Amino acid sequence: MLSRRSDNLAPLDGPSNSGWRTTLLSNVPLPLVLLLLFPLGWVVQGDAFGPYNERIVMLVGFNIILAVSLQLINGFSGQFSLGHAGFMAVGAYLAAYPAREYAHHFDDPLATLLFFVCLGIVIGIGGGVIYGLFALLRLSRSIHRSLPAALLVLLLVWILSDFAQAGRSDQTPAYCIWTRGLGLLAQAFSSLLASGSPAAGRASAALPQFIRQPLCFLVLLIGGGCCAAVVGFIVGLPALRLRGDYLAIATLGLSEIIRIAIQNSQPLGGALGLTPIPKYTDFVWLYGAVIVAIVLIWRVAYSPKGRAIMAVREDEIAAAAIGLNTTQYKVTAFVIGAFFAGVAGALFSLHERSITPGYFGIQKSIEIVVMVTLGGLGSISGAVLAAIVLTVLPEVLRNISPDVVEYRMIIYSLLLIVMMLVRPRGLLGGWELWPKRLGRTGAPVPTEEGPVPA
Amino acid sequence: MTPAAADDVLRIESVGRTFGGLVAVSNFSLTLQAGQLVGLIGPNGAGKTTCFNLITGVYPPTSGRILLGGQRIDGRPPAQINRAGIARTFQNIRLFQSLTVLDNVAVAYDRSAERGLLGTLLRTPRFARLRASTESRATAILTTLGLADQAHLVSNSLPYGGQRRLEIARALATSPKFLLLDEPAAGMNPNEKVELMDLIRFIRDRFGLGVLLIEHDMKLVMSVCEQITVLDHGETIAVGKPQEIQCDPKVIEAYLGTTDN
Amino acid sequence: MRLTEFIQQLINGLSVGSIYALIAVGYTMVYGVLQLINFAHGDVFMVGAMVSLYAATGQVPPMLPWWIHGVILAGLATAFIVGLARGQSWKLIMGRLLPLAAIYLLSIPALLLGAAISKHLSLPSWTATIFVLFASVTVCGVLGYLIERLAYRPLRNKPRINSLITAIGISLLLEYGGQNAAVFGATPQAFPAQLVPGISGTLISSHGIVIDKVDALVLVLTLSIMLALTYVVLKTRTGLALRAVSYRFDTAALMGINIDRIISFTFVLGSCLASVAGLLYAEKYPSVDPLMGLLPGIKAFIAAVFGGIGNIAGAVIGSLVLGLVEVMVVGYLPGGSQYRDGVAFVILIAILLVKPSGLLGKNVVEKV
Repeated sequence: MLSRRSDNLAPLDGPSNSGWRTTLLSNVPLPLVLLLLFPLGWVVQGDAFGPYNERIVMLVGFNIILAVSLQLINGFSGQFSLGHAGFMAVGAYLAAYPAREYAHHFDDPLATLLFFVCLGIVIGIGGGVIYGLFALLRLSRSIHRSLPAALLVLLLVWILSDFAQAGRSDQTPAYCIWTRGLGLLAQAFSSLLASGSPAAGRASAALPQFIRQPLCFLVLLIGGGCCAAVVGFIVGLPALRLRGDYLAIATLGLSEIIRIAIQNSQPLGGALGLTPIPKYTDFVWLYGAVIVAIVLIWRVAYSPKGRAIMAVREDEIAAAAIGLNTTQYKVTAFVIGAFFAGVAGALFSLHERSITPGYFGIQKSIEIVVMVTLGGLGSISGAVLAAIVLTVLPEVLRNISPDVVEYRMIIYSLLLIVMMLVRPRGLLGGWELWPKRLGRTGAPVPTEEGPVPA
Repeated sequence: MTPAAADDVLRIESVGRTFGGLVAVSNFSLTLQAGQLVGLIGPNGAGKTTCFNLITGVYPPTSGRILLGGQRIDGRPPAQINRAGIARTFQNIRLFQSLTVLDNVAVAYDRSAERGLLGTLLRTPRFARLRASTESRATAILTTLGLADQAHLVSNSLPYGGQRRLEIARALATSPKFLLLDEPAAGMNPNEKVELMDLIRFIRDRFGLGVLLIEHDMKLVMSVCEQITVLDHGETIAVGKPQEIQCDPKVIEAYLGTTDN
Repeated sequence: MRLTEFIQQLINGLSVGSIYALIAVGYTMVYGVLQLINFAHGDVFMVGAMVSLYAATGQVPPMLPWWIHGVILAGLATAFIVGLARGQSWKLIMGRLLPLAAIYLLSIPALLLGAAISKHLSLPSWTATIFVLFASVTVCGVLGYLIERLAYRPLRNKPRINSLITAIGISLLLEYGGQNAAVFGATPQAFPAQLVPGISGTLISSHGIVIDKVDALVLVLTLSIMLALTYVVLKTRTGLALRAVSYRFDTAALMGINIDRIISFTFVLGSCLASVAGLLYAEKYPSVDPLMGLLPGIKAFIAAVFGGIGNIAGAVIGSLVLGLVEVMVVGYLPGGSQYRDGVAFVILIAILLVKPSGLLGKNVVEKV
């Protein structure tokens, strides 16, 4: 059985075609598929199809991107995130806001770009300050282990008592630092933006007419996605220390904090939401994004990087023991997943003309988690299928009979429970409808763990 | 895989570890050279796996230090220690269960996949070349360990002995200078154990590794190891060649007890 | 002036925290035993409030539409036939299905009887209070038993995420089921203020401190329940079994502990406490609607995590702290009332960052 003292190692060089075959095969079909969207879009948005059906098709598109991006986090990386709606909200609001204020009806792509650049600079400064604080805390840990916790508690008490006094006088130091600091950041942001806008506007006007609008839209989408990705990074870092149920609740909490922050922010419209938002998303753009999202996430998942992500999911200690940087892989999953959720959010807000913070709450997150789980953890095709079925099904039920309408959501939740009891792996647990080339990797095999901690 | 240089030495100096009030290991010292085969034995609960965990960075020692090639590695995270050249297997097999046999080994080469998100997304030629070379190297290791024809099976469908060999294969794929094996023969029948002994010696000769072995099977340990350290209740009670250890009264007492109890 | 205000806020915070504590204990016990976050627990709390409303106002409890009766009977029959097909004995199957069938058959006359009694109640009175309490606790206890039996027990050996999804499903079921017009409807209804005799009005009103009788009742009741619970957990055999199961599942089974019964007991106990919380909450904030369990449920869970999940004392302490902080933020922070609900989440993130095992929790390290 064992090959003893064998010296016949296989040659270490790659395929003789030096890899171009893979590149061509992977990338050439893509534009062709995208071209197909145009005639499809013409049909869907035509009068014969009907606005009601069109709306369902669009909803399916948003949900597919959300489900597939969550699959990367929950399925392939095994981190149970219940906060996906928060990422979507970030993308939605941070695309809608510049679209209203700076894009001038999608005519000014460079001003929009400038918005995101300035935002990045300001967040960078803020982030640097916070990082400095954490570094100080870590430094204090080297003096004594409990020092950071004690310092934090002291700081908190000081801040709170100060803020409590702030109702009576504006001179309290902590409150001043807070409001002054925020004010400085906001000022820096607006002055950067203001000084750059005229130049950006002129540069945009210099661009040929026909690419101005698509470029502006693209900037909004990618900008929204990047903002969500940054939030994903911020969420992913503390998430490293948590597992299972704790992680679920933590991500839920962070998503709610995001939502409450948006709700209390006047520039973002507050509880009443942001409206009106110029509309630009249509079938071709949405499903173009859907296809790109599916392809890119597929490529990440079924690649050495994806394999490493799955290895970290399977056994973090063993993964560390073979030299994998587990932090990096777990955070990467969050960042990429959050990016696409942000893109979905941006597409959504630039389609709906108005958004409210209430939409991006726990229920939306749960909706997406249900899609991913019912479709089967670790299966991209499963997530796509489940997104389609679970978006269309309630609408179909709505039309069957007026009585059924009342029981629509009850049937939905019963379906959930029954599915978990009858087929816990989900529809396509671990399988794909397309060859993976990486062997049969993918889904977490249901191990016989029960309530007993391993 | 380059054989370990002659001056790569793993030095463990007076290392100790206390958990709360429990002293798991105290004053443990060991020196491991390239190409050496050392055994670590002792009754259950003596602290052997704790020593492994200390060396590989699962938790830091509360006293003492560990040096690899002159550099201190105690307190470093496990991934860093592995990259410095120490690989291990686990007492309870820790494979990546839903991954295939091939992937379990190939993932050890994915350390280089940390850069290259762009390549992954765009499927550049370089990406394809890297992926192909990873797979051929992984297949080579599987062939060496006799697992090549099971490369595409899901790893937890392998028989027990195969799973242990796969863990060793995965550890080897990280190009270590030192290999720490934690009870690799546990649960094997005598035939498999003989093959395992041959395998360990072969690995040591072929790759020039230093091997540290925890085992309970005395026959295996005595026949394979050049030097043995005996632990009991966290303390080293004997160090020496197999013949010396077999006659050492303290060792016999630790395992069997004395007559006047 | 400020001191009395502070004490007032203190009492208020403790009162809110006590209600959270009653819910949090249910979460923490179930987690300690099953390592499962019972997402549906907050909705059991809601059901408790709803049943209290029905019992107190004499409304006719909803009769499920005919086809649900059909589904239940069909389900029982199917389980029976499947058991036979698998070669199990009559006795075994009957033993398994009898509790469920009994609950189903008894529930209809029980509901009718309850409706009849509640119509003849005159509020306020002690009989009414006891009846409402009894009705609410019974219904929620049975509900807790059914949820565990039908939805969680089959998934006990499967990966945890399946149980989590099922829990979410049950939570959704209860919420949407409640919103169905045949059951309750989506609009909130008011809880009668005059249930417990002499409950409205203030207890103490001196030196500027105003303590409502409701708050005093909540505090006293919660304290006594906690003492009783501590006694049960620490001094009785059942409590010992409970602790054993929470440490090591399979070993406890090997020691002869009937795991199923202990787990059912845990669920029933937790649900009863949640129903009391529902009743008290309805007394304090007299508005009942099907979605009222969401936020208190999450907050109670956060409080349990904060105090150390699996630890009953921790759940209580965590809940009281959460109640206090919430009230302080609203009272003292400028614009604080908007951030009231966010407080819980900030506390959650903070504790998960600093000490994930919670205040009183122990760090369980994975053995390598």
